Amino acid sequence: MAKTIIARDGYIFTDGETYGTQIRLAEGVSESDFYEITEAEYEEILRKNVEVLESGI
Amino acid sequence: MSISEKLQTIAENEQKVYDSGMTKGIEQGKKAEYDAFWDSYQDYGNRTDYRRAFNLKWWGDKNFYPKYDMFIKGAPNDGFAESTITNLKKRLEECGVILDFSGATAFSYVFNSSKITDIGVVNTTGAPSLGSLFNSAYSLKNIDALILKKDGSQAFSNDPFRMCQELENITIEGVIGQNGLNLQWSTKLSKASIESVINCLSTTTSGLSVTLSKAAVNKAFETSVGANNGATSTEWTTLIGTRSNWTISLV
Repeated sequence: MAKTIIARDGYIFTDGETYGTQIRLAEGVSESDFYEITEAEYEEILRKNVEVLESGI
Repeated sequence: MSISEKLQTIAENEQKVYDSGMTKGIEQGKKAEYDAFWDSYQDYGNRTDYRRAFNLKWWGDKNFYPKYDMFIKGAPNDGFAESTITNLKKRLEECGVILDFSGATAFSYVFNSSKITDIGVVNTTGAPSLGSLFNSAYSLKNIDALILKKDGSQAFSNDPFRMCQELENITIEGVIGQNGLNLQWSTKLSKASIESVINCLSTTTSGLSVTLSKAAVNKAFETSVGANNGATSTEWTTLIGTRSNWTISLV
């Protein structure tokens, strides 16, 4: 049965590629593949991604 | 009628004839100018390379009146990027012109930072990847149909919907089966659109994820008006239950 993980307030779950506060894991995907980061860390990742994208335009 | 009145009437009629001819002449001149420009710009309908064709703010509702159908080939990169055209679909209909992307082989920032709100059908089946097709299309609200290949082989690796913050309605036809899809910026996405996205996820792939806006799901699947609880609703969990091979993330 597929499992849903929900991050604590102020945190985001990620496996390094996917980010979410509520994630329904696919069959075969382990909860242990995911870890929490803070919202501030997540915002920083988004900001860096924008820089990478804009440098490629 | 006195002689002076008759002369006055004749003079007025002459002026009307003159004005009429002048108006007709201006219209003819404008038509000739329009034809000359678009015949050249679209090569009498033979143009297929629309790379940067309607790029930058100079292209807007005041001057975008294409004359010929556009059957695009190759990579229409930046084709409408930063243009100030608003309702592209409506304008094309007004002009009686078809915009056909099915021959395009790549998409790089085609609508980047444009003011376009409405796009009709976007057939991407000629390309191996969606590239950054709608990336940074900040104003985009409605995509009538996004047509994908049926074999699910197209890549979504360059965030084709990044920053599509106004997107409300999209119908996807075909199969998403290569990379994950990220629609996290589309916080206004409608219920039908979310259902369309989920229903297009391949049932045979593994290791892929799709990310949606939690705000959009909460609103679209809320159990009562204003409850804003769609992410925990039975309807939502039932829907994503049909794609248990996908990791489905809300952010």
